[in-house]
Amino acid sequence: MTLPLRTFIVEDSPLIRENLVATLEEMLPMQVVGTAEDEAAAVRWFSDPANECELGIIDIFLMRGTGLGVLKAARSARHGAKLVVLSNYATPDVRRTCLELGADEVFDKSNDIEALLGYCARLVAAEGPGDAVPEPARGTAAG
Amino acid sequence: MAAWLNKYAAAALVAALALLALVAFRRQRLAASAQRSADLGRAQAGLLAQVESRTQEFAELARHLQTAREDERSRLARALHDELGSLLTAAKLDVARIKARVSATTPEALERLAHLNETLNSVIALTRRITEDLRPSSLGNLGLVPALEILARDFAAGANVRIELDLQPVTLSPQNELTVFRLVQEALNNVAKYAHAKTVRITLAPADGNAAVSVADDGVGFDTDATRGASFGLLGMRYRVEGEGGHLVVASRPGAGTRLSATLPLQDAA
Repeated sequence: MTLPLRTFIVEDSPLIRENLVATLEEMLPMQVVGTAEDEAAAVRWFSDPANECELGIIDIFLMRGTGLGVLKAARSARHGAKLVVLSNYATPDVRRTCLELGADEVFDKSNDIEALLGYCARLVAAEGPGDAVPEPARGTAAG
Repeated sequence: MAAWLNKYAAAALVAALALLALVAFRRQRLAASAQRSADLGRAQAGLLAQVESRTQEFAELARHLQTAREDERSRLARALHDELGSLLTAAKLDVARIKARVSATTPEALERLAHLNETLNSVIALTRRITEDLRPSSLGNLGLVPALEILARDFAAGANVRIELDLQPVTLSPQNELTVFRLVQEALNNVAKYAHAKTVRITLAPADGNAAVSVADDGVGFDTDATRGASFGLLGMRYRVEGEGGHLVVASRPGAGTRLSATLPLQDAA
């Protein structure tokens, strides 16, 4: 019995947040250990050493603050965790900026949902016997 | 003799009085006419001032309406992008969940789900197209030249027209970038509606402290004097360009194509 993949979600839309939590926990051995809807709360969570997660899913455009600040804080606070961006504005510029700030992957909210789920599935599998995440075989990610 | 003299004097007196009366009458008429023309002059000056102030009010109203229109489009684009976008993402998550449950049991349900997913993808693509048309995100994200390239490429694909581009980078305020973008968009809309053109050439270059933009087609053209008021799009564009301190020229003749050229002040380097 593998331990569930602990995941923290930063997302300001309650609709997407609730659906994403339900989808991830239902489809994969994942446990959403917490959520935040703005930059300050998310940075606080990632900066607290008492909190642990293997994956952070971060929206970039938030009601208050941005996911870019979250990404920076999370990357400097936890070196081991995978950090992925799930954005409705996954333009080439946004994509490049996120990767520079330490994001492992950038997914488009509309077009890359399957790709995100596939990434999580590979991560879950890798957390089991091995430790390396296989090369993501993503389809046509929107620019 | 005395009687004759008297009679003569009386006649002279009458004549003198008549003459005097005539002079007085003429003077009065002249004075009245001067008064009238002074009144007319004053009225004319008043009317001119009124026309001037109305024209200014009209120009301000046109500018206000343009800004209001852009704000409204922005609001609509945001609602479509954020709210409809969230709903579509939620729907796609649901499809993924259902797919995982039914995959083993019913292959035909899987087929319908794949179809539903395709439909959702089409709605997403359509939403993005509408959003992009309402408020070109390419402008803010990529800059004016790439945004114009995308606009031209999409237009060429849809209208079966060859497009030649000669676009140099220019430094404009975000508002003027949007004005240039809207100008090219309006010109291309007109080409699609009226011009029956084979080729459209779009240029953008810095020139004497201005950005010079032009859209020229080899279509049927029109008589620029005869179509007053017919093209509110162009009239609106003229007000918009002039409101930004620029200048718009529309050159066309029946059978000789149309060329729209405008200048807009560059943004200060400071």
